[in-house]
Amino acid sequence: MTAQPVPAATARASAWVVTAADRVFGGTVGDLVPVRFPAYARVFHPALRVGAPVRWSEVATAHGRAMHPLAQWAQLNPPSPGETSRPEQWGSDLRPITARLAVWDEEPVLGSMPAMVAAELVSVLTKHTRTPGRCWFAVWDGYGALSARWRAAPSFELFGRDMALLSGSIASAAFSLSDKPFEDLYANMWWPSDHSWCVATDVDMMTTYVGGSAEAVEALVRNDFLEVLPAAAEHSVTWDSDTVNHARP
Amino acid sequence: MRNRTMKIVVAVSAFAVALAGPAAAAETGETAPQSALSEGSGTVEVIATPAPGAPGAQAVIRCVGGTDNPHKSHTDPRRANVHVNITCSANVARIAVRGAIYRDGALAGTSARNHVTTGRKSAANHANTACRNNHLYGSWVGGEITFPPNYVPPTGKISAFGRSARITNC
Repeated sequence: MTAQPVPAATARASAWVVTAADRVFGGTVGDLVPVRFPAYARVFHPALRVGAPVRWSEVATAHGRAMHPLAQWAQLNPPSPGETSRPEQWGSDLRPITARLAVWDEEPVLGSMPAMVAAELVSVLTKHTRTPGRCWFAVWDGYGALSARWRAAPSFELFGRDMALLSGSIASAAFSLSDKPFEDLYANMWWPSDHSWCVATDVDMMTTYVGGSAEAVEALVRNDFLEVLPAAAEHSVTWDSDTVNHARP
Repeated sequence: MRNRTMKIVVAVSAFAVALAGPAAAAETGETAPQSALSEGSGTVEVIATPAPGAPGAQAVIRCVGGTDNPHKSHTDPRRANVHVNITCSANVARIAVRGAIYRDGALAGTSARNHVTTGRKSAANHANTACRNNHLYGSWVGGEITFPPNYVPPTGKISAFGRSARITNC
């Protein structure tokens, strides 16, 4: 059974994150995860086809696109007939893309880790901290589905977003914070007390970033269940970061 | 010094739900009102129950429409986004959902079209507009759920103002 977190007694444990982000959001991985780690990884949330995970690399191959660390979902799915072909309109809007039925029928989860990603990250990252029993979880209090219990937790501000701070064992990362039993919602940012790694999922993104040791990132990249590519703190996370596929017709 | 930003404003007040008879409104779609006259709780729900004696029908299905706080986008810093969704307790025949974002009560952007899922328990959509500092942004979610055969009512419609927030970090 997944461990339930508890509201943090104070928001003091967020200080290292806030200090690291004490500036304007610059649109890089280093704005999502503190720039203090030797290695970074990008975890791609899977699309689904008849309920089964579909990797972004499979989508790229199906559409003649290239999979790479800065890939963007919209750029891997060229517009279908009748859809706009203006790159900026296609790429910048978060509009849902119509299913490419032979490839995928459900888009990757946006704004929160999928349950299987949360569970697998817990499994891998447990081995790369000395404090798996004491971790911190920050969740945006702007989620409509966030349970009132967590909304009342001590909070801190990160790039204009109020984040409620919870604590628990690493297993709490896979505990849904939604007030709807049929809708999953997980922390946007979580880290162990020894700061050996940090996981971040932005409200507007379909991927999750991890900063940690070279060994932790390598373990993630080698994981069979997750689709993970190495990243760098200076990598862009904005819609136009996919310069490999962006300009292609 | 870090830019102190976004004061969250949420109120529980008026929202609208309508239960519909024949499936019809999805293509025409719920239309976002031109102005946001109220703030909502961010959630609203419709419930369908198995018709008495109907074979195959299992349990009550509850569908909830919701919005997140409007916020400055981290993928396109010139824009303010709002995410909307309809999520049900079980798979339903069809969900069509669309959203809208308001600035100081006036309609500022809508999702281009309905997002439709079939045979699933959720559908999400988004709306965005130019991000301008120190304005109050509101949200709206609309859509239609077609329940499985032998459920009453056969469809449910959602039209609800959702969460709002003042954005000051554009």
